[in-house]
Amino acid sequence: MIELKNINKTFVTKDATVHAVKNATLSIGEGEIYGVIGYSGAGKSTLVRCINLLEMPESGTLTIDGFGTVTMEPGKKRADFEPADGSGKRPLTEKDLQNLRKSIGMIFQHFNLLDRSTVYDNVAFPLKKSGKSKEEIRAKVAQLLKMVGLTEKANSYPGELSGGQKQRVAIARALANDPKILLSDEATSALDPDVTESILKLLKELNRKLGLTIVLITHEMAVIKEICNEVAVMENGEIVETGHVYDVFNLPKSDIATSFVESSSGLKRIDKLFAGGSPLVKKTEPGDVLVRLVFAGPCADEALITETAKKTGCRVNIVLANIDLLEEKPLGSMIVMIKGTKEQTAAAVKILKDSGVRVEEVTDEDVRKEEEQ
Amino acid sequence: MNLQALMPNVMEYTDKLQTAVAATLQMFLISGIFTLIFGFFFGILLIVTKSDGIAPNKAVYYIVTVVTNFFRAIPFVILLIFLIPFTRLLVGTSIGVTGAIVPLVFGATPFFTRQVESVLASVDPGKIEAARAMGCSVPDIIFRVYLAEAVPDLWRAITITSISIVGLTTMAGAVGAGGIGSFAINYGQNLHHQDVVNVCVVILLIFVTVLQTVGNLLARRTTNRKIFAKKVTL
Repeated sequence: MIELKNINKTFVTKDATVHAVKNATLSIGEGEIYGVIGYSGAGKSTLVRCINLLEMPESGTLTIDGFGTVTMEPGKKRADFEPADGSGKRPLTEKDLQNLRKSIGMIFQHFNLLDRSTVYDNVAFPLKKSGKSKEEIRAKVAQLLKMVGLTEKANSYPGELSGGQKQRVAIARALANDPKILLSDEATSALDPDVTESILKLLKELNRKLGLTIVLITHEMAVIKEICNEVAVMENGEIVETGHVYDVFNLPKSDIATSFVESSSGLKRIDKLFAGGSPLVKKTEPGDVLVRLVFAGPCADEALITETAKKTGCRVNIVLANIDLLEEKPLGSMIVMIKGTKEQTAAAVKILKDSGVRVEEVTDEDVRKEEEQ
Repeated sequence: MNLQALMPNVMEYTDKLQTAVAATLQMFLISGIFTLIFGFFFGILLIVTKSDGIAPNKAVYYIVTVVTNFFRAIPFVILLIFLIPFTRLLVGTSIGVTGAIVPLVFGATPFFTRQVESVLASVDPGKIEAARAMGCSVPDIIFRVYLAEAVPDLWRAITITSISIVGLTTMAGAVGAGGIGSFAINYGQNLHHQDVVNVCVVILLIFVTVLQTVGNLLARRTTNRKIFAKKVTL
């Protein structure tokens, strides 16, 4: 559906040149909810703006199904455009840009509604001047407002709405031209947790009902966990990791992805226990091991711990634990102290490993290393 | 107490006063309309062509900025005499109401241009970005986002500018354009008729107050809403 190849974008300011997006390559399939996560300044907003060309990359190729391929070569002022209708390569025009943008909806962190227009007029905004009759526009707006559950607010002004309602209006407006793609730029970052959940639910519903492809930028792992199937992790303008959300959570490869996963699962709090010298993480017997267990898929079953303890005669103390549901599959992770003789604990670790649990030893080395950095 | 006793000289010159008020109104309205047109045009041009605008154009931005600053830097009294040859060339005379309108427009337009520019610059860039993301053209963004969203602040700018035009018309009067300004000088100051000056002050005060009140009302009524919004039933 969306294909980005070797996209580069730099911003030149008075003081510095910022390479906002470096050689980014990304492929987003139809009907996916694709998350782009990174800390602020990682370049995720710029990357997503290269999809509707609100930002023109210096170099790279953008292909959108049904629209065509835009190629930008370094040093060239104008991009080349090869329309999907097969009419051949030509320079990209302002009109092409407008057509592309009309076919892609976008929502924002601060909603960006027109304050002097009613909810109805805001949603009707992209429909006016599109050659539709008044009646057609009215019917379309009615349908859109019904979809986001705001029919009775048609005559209200944005100032009279809550944050969640404003974002619903923005979603209705973004979908007015029946786009196949919706870009969401931190759309839930200014909202309360429960409102965030209802907006994410709405997006998921639209994805299912309309087959809408959603590209979603966020700095919150919780949002990715909640609705995405695919995720790209960005750092300093580069895409450092991509994959299925479940796989990235199960086995993050990059440091930054690991950090995002750990802070979202709460296991990062182990650092605090080490730092505070908590007895929970103190080894008292020579065989004691402190391990991180990751249960993916079918083995995410707590009985396993009890079974293991019984079989080997170890005692297992759960220090921290978290179970997530990702794409309806459970993913559990916990940090446990296995206490017993060396033989007992080694046997316990073996049983766990054999059952398909990932076992990693946790030491406060990691914590010290991080502190030094 | 009758008016005759209170302001004997004014009563003597009522017909002159009427002509003066009419001349001031005439100068105010005609130069006001031209100032609106030119000020909006150049103000929008500045916003659109600035380096982070929706259609950046360094040359246009630079030229408009330089010309605006030039005319803004000249005190109005100097501008009046500086423009005399040009005014004569353009409208055939440099005196009277007609002759005053040209310098009035030159004096007020740069001021209003800057007002329009700063009002439009305060429109949330997020709204502009949203409009671009919806595939709006440049004129669409100007009229449906910039101008539409800035209406209350534009009313404030128009109010301030119109009050400053009232001030400029009296100055133009001082150099022979007629109107309340020249009436106050010729029949008040020069003939030592303090009551004439006083009445001129009162008239101007009333005029400015009316402008300010109407302006405030319009700005308030257009903040976060439209005056004539039609209700829809879905």
